[in-house]
Amino acid sequence: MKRIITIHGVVLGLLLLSGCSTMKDFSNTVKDSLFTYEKVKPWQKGELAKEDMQLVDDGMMTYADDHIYFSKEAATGGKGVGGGGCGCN
Amino acid sequence: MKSIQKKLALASCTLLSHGLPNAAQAAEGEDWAVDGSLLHYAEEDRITVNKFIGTLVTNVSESDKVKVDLVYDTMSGSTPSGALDSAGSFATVSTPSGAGGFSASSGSTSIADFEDTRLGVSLDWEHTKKRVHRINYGSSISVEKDFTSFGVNTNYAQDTSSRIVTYSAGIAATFDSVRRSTGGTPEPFTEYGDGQSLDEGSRVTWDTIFGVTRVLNRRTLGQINFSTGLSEGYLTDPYKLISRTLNLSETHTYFEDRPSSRQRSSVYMSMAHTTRHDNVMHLSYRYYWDDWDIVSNTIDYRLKFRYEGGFFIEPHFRYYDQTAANFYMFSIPQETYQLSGFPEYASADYRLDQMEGTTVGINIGKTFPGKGKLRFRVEQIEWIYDNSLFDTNKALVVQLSYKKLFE
Repeated sequence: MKRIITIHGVVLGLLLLSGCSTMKDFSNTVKDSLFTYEKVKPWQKGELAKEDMQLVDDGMMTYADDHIYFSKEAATGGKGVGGGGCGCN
Repeated sequence: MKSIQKKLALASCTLLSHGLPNAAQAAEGEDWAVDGSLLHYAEEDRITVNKFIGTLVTNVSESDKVKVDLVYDTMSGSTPSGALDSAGSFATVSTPSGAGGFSASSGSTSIADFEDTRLGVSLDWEHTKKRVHRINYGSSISVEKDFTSFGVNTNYAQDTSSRIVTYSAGIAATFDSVRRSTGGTPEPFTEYGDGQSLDEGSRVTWDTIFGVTRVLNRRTLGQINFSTGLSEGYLTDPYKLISRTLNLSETHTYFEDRPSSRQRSSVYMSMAHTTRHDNVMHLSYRYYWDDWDIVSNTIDYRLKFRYEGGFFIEPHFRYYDQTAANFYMFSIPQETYQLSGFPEYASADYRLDQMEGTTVGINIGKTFPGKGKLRFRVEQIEWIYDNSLFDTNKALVVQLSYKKLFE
C-alpha cells in the first residue's frame, strides 16, 4: 500500500511539474499531449523534427544511465535490445 | 522539406538498439558525427567508476550508416558481499586477488574491496530501403578481468505510408562468460575458504522487442514497447556470499546460489512533448516482471527549458521500485538449516532485495552554431532497501559530453 501511494504521489508530482506555471498551462499540456490526436500533415511536423523531440535525445546520457541502473537494480530493458553486458558489482 | 522528412523519420523511429548511442540521432544530415563523454560515478563509501564513452557515426552511402562505439571504465571501491558483519572475522569476505577483482576489506567483514577495468566495443550498420524500411545489424564485445560478453542483434523498423506510425521489432543474443578474478567459479553453498572451484560460468540471453511509435499530434510523439527475454546458464554471482545465522549472529558463510534460468518481460511507454512555452518534456514508464517474482515500476521525467542562444536547463527526476526475488534472504537461519538443510536457492545480494530508488538531477547545455553541442549534468541517486544489511546507498553522477557534426 505504501508503494502504491508513493507511485501515485510521484505521478501526480510529475504532472504538476510538467512545465506549467499555472493550472491553465497544466491543463493545456495534458490536453495537448495525452488526449489530443490529430492526423498531422507533413508540413505540420516541424516541431517533431527537432533533435530535442527524439525519444532518445541524448544517447550519451541514456547509455550511461542504462549502465548505472543495470548494475544496481534487478529490473532492466524496455527501450531496446542489444549492446554489451557487464559483470557489474 | 526533404531534410525535415528525414529528421521526422528518425524522430518517429523506434530506437531499438539498446547499446551505445543511436546511430540515427548522431549523424542525421551530416557525413560524420562524433560524440564523446566523461562520467564520474561515486557511491558514498562504496564504488567509484570513471567512464569514457565515444561514438563515431558516418554515412557511407545515401542509404547506409555505420557506427562504432567505444566505452572504457575503471572501477574501484567496495561493495557488500552479502555476508553479515561479524567482528574480527576476515574469512567472511571474498577471495583476495591480485591486480583486479575482490579482496578483503580492512574495515568491515561484510564489505569486499574490488578493482577492475572494462573495455567495450560495438559496431552497427543501418540500411534504409525505400525511405520507410530500416534494418540494423549490430555486434558488441565487452571485456573485464572476470567477465566477457559478446552480443549480436538485429532490429527492423517500418513506417506507414503517411509516416505517422512506425512498427518495429528486434532480437538480440548475448553470450557471457563469468569467473572470479582468480579463475573459475565457486561451488554453490560451499563454505567460504573451502576452495572448491568449478569451471568458469557461461550463459546465453535471448531478447526480443516489439514496438509501435506514433505521432499523436504536431507537438507529441508516443511509443510503446513490449519486450521479453530469457537467460539460461550461470546466473549466480561468483563473489556473493550468504551467512548462516544463529540469533542473527553469523556462524558460517557460504557462496550463494541462484536459479539457472530467468525469464524477463516489460512494457515500456514513453512520450516526448513540446509545451506551448517551447519547452520539451520526456516522460516514460516501465512495468517489469520476471519469473524470480521481481516486479518493478520505473518512472522517468525530464523537462528541458530552452533559452536564447542555444542554452538549455533540464531537471530530471526518476522513481524506481522493485519487489524482492523469491530466493532473496537476509541470511539462512540456523533453525531452517537444521530442519531442511539449504534452501533450493539463496542469495543475500542487496540488488535482489525489495527496494525503492529516486534520482534527482539537472542537465545544462548549449548548442553551438557550428553544429556542436555541450552538455553537463549532476545527479544524486538514492536507493532504500527493505531487508539488507545496509539500509541505503547513495551515489553522485557527474557527466560532461560534447557532440560535433561534420559536413
